[in-house]
Amino acid sequence: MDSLFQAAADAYRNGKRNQRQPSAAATGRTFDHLLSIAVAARLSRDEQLLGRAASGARSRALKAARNGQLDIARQALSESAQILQSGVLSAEARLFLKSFHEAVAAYLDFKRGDPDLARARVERALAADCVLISQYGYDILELHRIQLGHNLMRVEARFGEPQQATAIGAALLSYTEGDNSSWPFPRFGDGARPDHLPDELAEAMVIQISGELAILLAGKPAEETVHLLSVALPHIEGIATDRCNDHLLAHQWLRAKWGFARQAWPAFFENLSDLLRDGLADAPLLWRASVADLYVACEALDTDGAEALRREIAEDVRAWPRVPEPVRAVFARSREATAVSI
Amino acid sequence: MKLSRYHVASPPVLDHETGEMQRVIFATRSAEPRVVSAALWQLIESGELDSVPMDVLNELVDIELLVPDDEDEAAVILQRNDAAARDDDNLYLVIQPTAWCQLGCGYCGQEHFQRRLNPDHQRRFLERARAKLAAKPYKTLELTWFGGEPLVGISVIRAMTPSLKALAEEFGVIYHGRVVTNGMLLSDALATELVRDLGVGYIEVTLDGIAPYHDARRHTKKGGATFDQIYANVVSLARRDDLHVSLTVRCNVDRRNYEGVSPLLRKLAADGVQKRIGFYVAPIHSWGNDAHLESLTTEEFAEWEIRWFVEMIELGFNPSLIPKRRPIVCFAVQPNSELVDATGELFNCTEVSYVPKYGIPNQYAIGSLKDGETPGKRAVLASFNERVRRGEYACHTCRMLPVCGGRCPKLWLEGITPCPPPKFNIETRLLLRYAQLRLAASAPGASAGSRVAAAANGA
Repeated sequence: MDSLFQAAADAYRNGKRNQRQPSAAATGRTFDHLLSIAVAARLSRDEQLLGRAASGARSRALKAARNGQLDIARQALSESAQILQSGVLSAEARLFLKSFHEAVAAYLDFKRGDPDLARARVERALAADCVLISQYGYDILELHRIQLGHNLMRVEARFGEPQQATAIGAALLSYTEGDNSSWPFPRFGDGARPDHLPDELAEAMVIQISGELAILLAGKPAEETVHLLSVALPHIEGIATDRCNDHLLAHQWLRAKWGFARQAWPAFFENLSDLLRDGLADAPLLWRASVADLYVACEALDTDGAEALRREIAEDVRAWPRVPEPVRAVFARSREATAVSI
Repeated sequence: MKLSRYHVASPPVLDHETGEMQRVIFATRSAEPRVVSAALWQLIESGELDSVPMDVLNELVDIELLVPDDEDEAAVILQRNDAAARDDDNLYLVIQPTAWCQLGCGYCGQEHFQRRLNPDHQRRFLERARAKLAAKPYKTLELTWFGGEPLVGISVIRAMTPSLKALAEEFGVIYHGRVVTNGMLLSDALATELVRDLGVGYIEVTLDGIAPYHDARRHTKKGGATFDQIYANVVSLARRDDLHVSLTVRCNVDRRNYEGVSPLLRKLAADGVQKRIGFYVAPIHSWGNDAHLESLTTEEFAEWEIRWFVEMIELGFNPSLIPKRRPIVCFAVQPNSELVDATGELFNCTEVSYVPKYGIPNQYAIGSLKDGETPGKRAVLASFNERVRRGEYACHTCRMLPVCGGRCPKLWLEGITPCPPPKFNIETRLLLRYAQLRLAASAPGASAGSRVAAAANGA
């Protein structure tokens, strides 16, 4: 146990110094590149340029919405909507732009606190993706479809349906790993070929979905965590799909979290080390949520080494930018709540 | 896609390394300049986009030089400006701690008198600030101390700052203090206090040229010289490494002192502070008076400004050549921003308080600390974008609107055209920036200024 704890502590210290840049897959550059190839092969130059203008407007909308500037976001989105009305666009191009437009509009509704509208918009985007994949051959949009499913998971998580959210999350993990039958939204399953996703994109998506689960579970009581996470038990046991073992970080996190919730500290520390050592480049949500769990574990252990690590984490956390609220809350209600002001 | 009307193209200039004629294109919608070959520009300008490589077109779309055919661009810019004003996450407040100033500048429109913001007004202002911070999730609280001469009212600054900083902390916003001062009282000790204790991170001081020019206009109320004292304070502060503060010198210029700018630049450079300060020249405008009648025409000013830029580059200053996007013209259009003067009157403009011409009560006052805002008064200036939208001002068709914002709602309202110099010298600014960058990349030891000047003249 002591050596496992020490290994986790060392991994944390290595990981926080790890300056590795995020991979192209994790930042979305790989997806953007593959998408641009698909678009160049199918849409006219005019349509591509309009699409690029719409993409710029959506980017501004997303950035503003993330910053809480909803008027600026609405304005940018209205510019994207205006492009959707352009008479130059073919039905295919319009559908393509609509999928991405609705996804961003849904995020705006999500930020405004309207889950029904957000769900409806995501579903419109999903419907568009189905047609684009099955009728126009945009295989790469499989990743967008999973992303939209992940967005629905966030809607459920944010608006008080954690069980539904974790169920979606577990199903999306299986689907992303190639299990067609696990797709949680059967109405929007046309043309499903998750096994065609490039490995690095599937890996990035699995980490993203796990990260969302990590945020959802951050700070939840042990009993509730066990209850919610049990839906992902086949993944924890590594038997959900043939590719469970391909996505090591995410599955190690699942096992670590399972150990954490059951206060099975050896399992927790053992499974945490690789993730912590890797740093937050490709898995920022998983990493921060795991550090929060490590912090709580240190409180529970109450040894000199654990206390030293706990203090070190408390100090480090002060410099963290953009901490997700559930993770922030873990530190805020801890023993040094007044000292850990983030 | 069409070429955005919001662009400026420099005249063609020969690139001696490639032997190619080039132009600098400035997309004012995004405030992004790009260098393109003159031949390529001809294709773009004539709408022959099919002959332009796709990666170039993508870049032009990204900087909004190319926009959708059916877009009403002016409407989009104004809608963006409106949204930016509503959504600004910086709460901008201005306090005039005193109505007094030691100086008697000839062009100043204010009538000074001995009055400081009293404790009751200070309390009421803090209550208003609290209500504003509670109403919206701001990220920063920016507080400008303005005059009169704000440092004459240092006791008010000392009294209010702890409460302002506490408010910022309570609401989790970052506090930024700024001072616009004549610099007379800006001693080492006071500068230290301002920066270390009073949260000031930006100080702007006015010097209207070297002593003969400055002292002829920015003298004490009794006519005494002020240059030596202000200049010594500026240089002393600029040289300090122990204070983290941005220091900017503004030089107000009209026909009577424009020849004093160059000597001032040389003096600052000789004293070795050119890399440690910001410096800009501002044309004198009407301050509710006839001050603008002595001004250079904007075209004249624009021409001189280019010379000053060249000189600044040669001397090692870092002038700001390319305008930035300006979605918020000024705090007049920000719904929660306000200025309080030393009598407790509220305004949404810095150029109107203490100005006798605006009457009693001041026609621009939007209310008072005692009675709150008067319905409808804020809109007199705040409705500026709407007036532009209706085509009441030339901004409606101006290609510089995105980087200018309209300059000054109050002057437009008073029938004075406040168009800024870049409108008249942007092409040369672009070439100057281009030359500056090319020279920086070329062999060391090149005489930057002379080549820059040659490039600019080549325009």
